[in-house]
Amino acid sequence: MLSSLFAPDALRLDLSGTSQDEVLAELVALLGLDGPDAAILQKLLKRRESLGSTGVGRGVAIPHTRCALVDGLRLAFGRLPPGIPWAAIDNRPVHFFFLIVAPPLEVSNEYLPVLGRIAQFVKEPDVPERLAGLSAPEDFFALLREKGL
Amino acid sequence: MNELPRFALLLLVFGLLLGTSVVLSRASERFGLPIALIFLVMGMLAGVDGPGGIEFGDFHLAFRLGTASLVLILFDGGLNTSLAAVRRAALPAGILATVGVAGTALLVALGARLLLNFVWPLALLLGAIVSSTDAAAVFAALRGSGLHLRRRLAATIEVESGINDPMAMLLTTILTANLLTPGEFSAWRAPVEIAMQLAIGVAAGVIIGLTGRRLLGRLRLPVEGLYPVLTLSLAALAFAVPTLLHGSGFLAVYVAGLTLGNGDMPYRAGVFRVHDALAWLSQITMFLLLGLLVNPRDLVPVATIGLVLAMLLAFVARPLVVALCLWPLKFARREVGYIGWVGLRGAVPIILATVPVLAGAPGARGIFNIVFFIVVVNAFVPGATVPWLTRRLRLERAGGGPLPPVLALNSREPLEGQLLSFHVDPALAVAGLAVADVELPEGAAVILVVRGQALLPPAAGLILEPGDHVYIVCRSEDQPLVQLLFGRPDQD
Repeated sequence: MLSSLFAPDALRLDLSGTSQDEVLAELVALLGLDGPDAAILQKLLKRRESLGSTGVGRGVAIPHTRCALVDGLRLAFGRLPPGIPWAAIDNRPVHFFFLIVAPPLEVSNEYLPVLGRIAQFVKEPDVPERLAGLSAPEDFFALLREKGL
Repeated sequence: MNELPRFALLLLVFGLLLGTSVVLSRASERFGLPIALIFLVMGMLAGVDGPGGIEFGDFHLAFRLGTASLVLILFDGGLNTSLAAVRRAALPAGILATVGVAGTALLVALGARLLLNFVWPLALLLGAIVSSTDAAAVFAALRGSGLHLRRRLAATIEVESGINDPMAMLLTTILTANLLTPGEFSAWRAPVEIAMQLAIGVAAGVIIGLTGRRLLGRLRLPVEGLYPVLTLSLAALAFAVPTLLHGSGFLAVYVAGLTLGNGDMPYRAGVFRVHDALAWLSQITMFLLLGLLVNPRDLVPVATIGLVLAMLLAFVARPLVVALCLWPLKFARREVGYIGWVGLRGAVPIILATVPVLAGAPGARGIFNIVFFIVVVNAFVPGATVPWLTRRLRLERAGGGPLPPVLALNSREPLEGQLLSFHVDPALAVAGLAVADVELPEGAAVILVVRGQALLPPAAGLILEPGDHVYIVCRSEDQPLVQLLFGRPDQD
């Protein structure tokens, strides 16, 4: 289940970053990384963004990378109420961020399927509105369960 | 001599000059020199002071052919510029192409007045003539070194040069008129005139571009070869109509190309290839002709003045104006420094320098020679330093640049769906995975992998390696997911 891959404290509904760097730093912090480790992960995520935005449209971005600093697939979710330009495919500002970090070698090979499932999830017509209306982290997990994730 | 042999002789000379220029263009890659310089030198060698000994002094013909060439080059530039690039760079490029051009012109004029004692009307005219940049020169220098600039930076330089020629042309026309009849243009009227010309240019470009799109979509022409003829006619109209309506035809032709290029078009790949070839032919013809037009021995007396002004332009005017224009925008300092340094000059200043000559303005021939000298010096400094500086400032694009496509759609009917190609970078989620493990949406599939010189069929077990080029067919609605996995397509 997708919901089981999110640590309960890897969710924040009030991100406040005003630049890509600041938002990525806030998301990386949700995984409990700090100092040089956080800087390395942030750099890898920025590198991925430089190859084409992970903003998939409708206010959602899915920053992702492989990184040796994690030993299993790690996910985080952040909501930035004011939104931020992210060069998304529809050129609209991004409000919702799903962070995915996978180890370089995965036994279970879940990285790509998880990326695909999140991308399919956010394509559902009511999801952006439901994400905007979340008032507590539990609501997020309830939404994932409701959608069978 | 009969007319036929005489014309055959002309074609012989033209063919030899053209062919030699094309063959020598490889030298630009080897030595990192702007390709245009090679064409220009070829023209000079063929000219009256060189071994060719051809006498050519027809400024009228040079202006007309130069303008027609510029129209084709700008149209091709517009066709090949994505709206995404324009969106990325609209603000900085817009400021640089208007305020920046005027600022550069003013600073060069100030230098000419204070350092070289030019009278103000001539100093201002000289400043205006050398104020616009040529992105093709920058990209040709980079291409030779296999470098690809960061996207926003590349887009800024490219879009700036696509839209700054009109501003330079307007300033040159106004200042030439002012030189002939002092006071004809008051200081307050010039900005109004410029704003009006630019507005008419944009409007005409959009209208002709959109009309062209509809026409191309609806017409069913009997043969493929007629489509580029139609787009060529649109380019001519896009320049002529606004020019006759007192607008900027140069801006209109770029905007029309942009509007057409970002829509559906029958036989798109073929039409683009024809315009690409026409733009190259124009580029070579224009430089050869301008090289023929100048008498190298006339450059000797203006060498000191030209050198001082070229250095002033490269080291002071352009960098300072760029720094001021981009200061409020979020550019890294090294990017601002780079844009300020690589403002290469192409053929446009030389064509603009024929305007006062044709108008019979006093001192115009001297200005023409000085401008010519500045453009040649500019090809070396900063021209020859472009690849070195790009590496030094680490401004190359992550993931390398797009390779020319080995597959392209070429259909008369608009097709549903997309054919996209991607460069596999180690940072992508799919790097190192087997084709079978790449979970694509139902309507999408990998159809070809290009690895070096090898075309690899996408067998299930084929591992996608960094450096590969992957071709994917997908429905438009699946493009976001495909891009999430593979990054930005080469076509973007």
